[in-house]
Amino acid sequence: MGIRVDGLTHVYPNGVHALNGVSFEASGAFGLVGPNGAGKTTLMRILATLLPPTSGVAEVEGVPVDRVEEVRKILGYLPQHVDFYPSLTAFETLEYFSLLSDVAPRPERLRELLALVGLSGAVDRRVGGFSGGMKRRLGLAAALVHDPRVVIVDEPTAGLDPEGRIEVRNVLSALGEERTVLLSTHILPDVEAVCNRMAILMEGRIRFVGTPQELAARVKGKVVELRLPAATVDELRRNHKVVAVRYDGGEAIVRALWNGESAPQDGAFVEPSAEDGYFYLLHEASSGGEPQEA
Amino acid sequence: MGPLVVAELKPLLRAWFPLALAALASATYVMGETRQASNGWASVGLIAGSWMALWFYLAFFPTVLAYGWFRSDAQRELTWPRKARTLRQLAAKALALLLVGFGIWACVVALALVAMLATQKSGPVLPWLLVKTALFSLPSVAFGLALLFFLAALVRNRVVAYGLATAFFLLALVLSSPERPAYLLPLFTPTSRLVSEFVGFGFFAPVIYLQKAYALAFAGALFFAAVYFVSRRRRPRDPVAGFFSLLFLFATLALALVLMKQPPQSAWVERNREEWTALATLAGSGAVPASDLFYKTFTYRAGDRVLRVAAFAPLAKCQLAFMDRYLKTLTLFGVKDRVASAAEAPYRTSATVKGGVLLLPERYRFREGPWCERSAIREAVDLLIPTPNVRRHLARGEDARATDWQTLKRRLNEAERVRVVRLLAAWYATKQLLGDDALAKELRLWDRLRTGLPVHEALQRSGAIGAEFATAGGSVGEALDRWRRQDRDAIIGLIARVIAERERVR
Repeated sequence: MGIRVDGLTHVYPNGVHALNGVSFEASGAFGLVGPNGAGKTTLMRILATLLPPTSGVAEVEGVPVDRVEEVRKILGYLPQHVDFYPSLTAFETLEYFSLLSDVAPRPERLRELLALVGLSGAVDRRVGGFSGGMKRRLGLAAALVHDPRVVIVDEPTAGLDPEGRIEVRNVLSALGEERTVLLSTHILPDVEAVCNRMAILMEGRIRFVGTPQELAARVKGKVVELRLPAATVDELRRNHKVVAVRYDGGEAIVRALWNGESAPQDGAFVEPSAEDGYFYLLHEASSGGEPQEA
Repeated sequence: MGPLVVAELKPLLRAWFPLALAALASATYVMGETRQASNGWASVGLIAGSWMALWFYLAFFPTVLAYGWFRSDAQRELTWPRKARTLRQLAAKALALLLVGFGIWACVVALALVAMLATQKSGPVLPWLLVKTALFSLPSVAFGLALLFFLAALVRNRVVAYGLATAFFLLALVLSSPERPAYLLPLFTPTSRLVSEFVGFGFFAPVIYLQKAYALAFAGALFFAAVYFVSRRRRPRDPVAGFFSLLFLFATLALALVLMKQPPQSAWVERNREEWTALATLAGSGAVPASDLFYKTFTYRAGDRVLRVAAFAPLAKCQLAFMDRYLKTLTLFGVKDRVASAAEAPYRTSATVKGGVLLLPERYRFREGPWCERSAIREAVDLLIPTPNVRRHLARGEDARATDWQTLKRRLNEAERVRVVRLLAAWYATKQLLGDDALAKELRLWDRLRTGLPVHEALQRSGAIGAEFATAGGSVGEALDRWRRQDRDAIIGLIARVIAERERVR
């Protein structure tokens, strides 16, 4: 059953509409992407039972989030920032979170979890000496101590080095095979690597729901790669949305969203990525486009 | 709950720096309190300990909390979406902190006890006094903890919470004056004059118990309010916590109302003095056995002389020294077993004491050294030559407007004259009983204190000491010589006349 959200709206006391009628269903590994301030964390906190919605439905495995204690039994949550008692070891930290989750800490289970997140070599090390990536992975293990059917992870790879990102992504992929994982991020390659489906949230509204491939396909025939004199890049920016620029001597290799029917003279259409699709939707949203469903 | 408390205890016990700081604070404070030193290193320990005890709350709890539940939003977001309810999470943390606080106190009290046993060569020690003092301090610890929890739950910002808590504790320190009805401050501590009442004796004890109950009720109200406010944020709401918070708040208000009706500490000190006098009267007249007055009676033997003594507890070192000097002073002035109270001079009505019991104030218990000897002599001389009670005269409303000015002035002059005579008699006794060096020390003390002191000006006017006394080098010796040479016989004669006059009045 996973997660079901229907017409979810949240208005903060200061009048800010963080979510406006958000609807989607998630199962397996599901990515939630959006720019900063799009409402991702508000949605995560609602699903994690920390924030009551203003209106709409949010269910975790068929249980409405209003039934807080029931949802907490089946939900694991890894927030964006994690912090632990620095003087406890990784093992003791998991013991502590087991107790907070009303689960008797079984040593073999805790060791399994630490092995799952690649921390079997740091079982008895104090958390104060952990790197950011190790702490994030420990947080993931802490989110799993009560064996939840649904796991929500908020920006799990932010600030990690490439190796740390790959480690966390691998763990999330493995988890997605047997339970629902809702991955919130603004790093699209992570979504492409982990999730089979995704949604894009912008300004509190869902702009896209589908697979990463469908998102990429949305801009098929609209992405070009150009080789231009470096001095002309600014002129191109005025007429087209530039996705990326790479300078090579006096020339610039530009990836841009192209409005025309045919490819430009000094460039060619290229295979779009999910990132291109995301950028296209972002551009469309800023110019007043409507939400789309794949 | 138990395993969760243990889990919360682990990081606290591993936070060695704040733990060491808290232990040091408590150790210096308890040692200083135990010794009640008026000078020397022990007094430095007492003063430093008082400040460190303050830092116990300001440094230890915020530091450990900084590693705990209120460390940052990050840890809240990790712990809040857990099944354990808010009350359980917060109670486990509070219990762990209280256990650490109590553990520190228990260790330090044990150490203080060992130190007392090692340093006190005669007289018994009072372990229950230390334990009771430690137990009585717990409501303050609980309150400090609950306040921090409440502030952190309410303002949602750790730095602001600690800032407000610090401001509160500093304000409490400033407002804790004996002259003010400071009972409403949860960190209230009685003045040292009321220390025996603090541990459960005397008139003041009910106020103390009320105050401790008030601090605990206040702590309870804050704790449950913290649970309630946090539960509103993390859900589900905990209306029971809100109910208990209100319940404790009402209890706090009720106790506060009772406490507000209590007179300030200074009034209790006065009552304490009067109590001693009244007890001396009752015990001395034989109307009530001393054993029925909370005070135990003891027999003190000095050579062939036997004196029955009523004291707060078995005689300690300074009390023994006091007894010895007291009896010798009485003998020096040719007075036989005078039974009297060693209570404060203004309320001394020793003339009414006719039994065979000397009431010995508890405050002598922890005093040591020259203070004992000097005060014993002064007390004995004061009992021989009581001053006219001008203060009581004024307190009855017979002030300058209502009383004939000449009468009042005569009484004041007489009081001043008697004070001078008493002082000289004390010097005489000091020289006779303790020797020239002790007298030189005593005179040096007066030399330091003399500036603006009326009694000293009176001494100058009477010619007992010269104007050059304070300014010339070696003036102490000169003053002593002058006293020996010129005034000694006259002064002794004066003392004899005053004593005879007093005897006649009785």
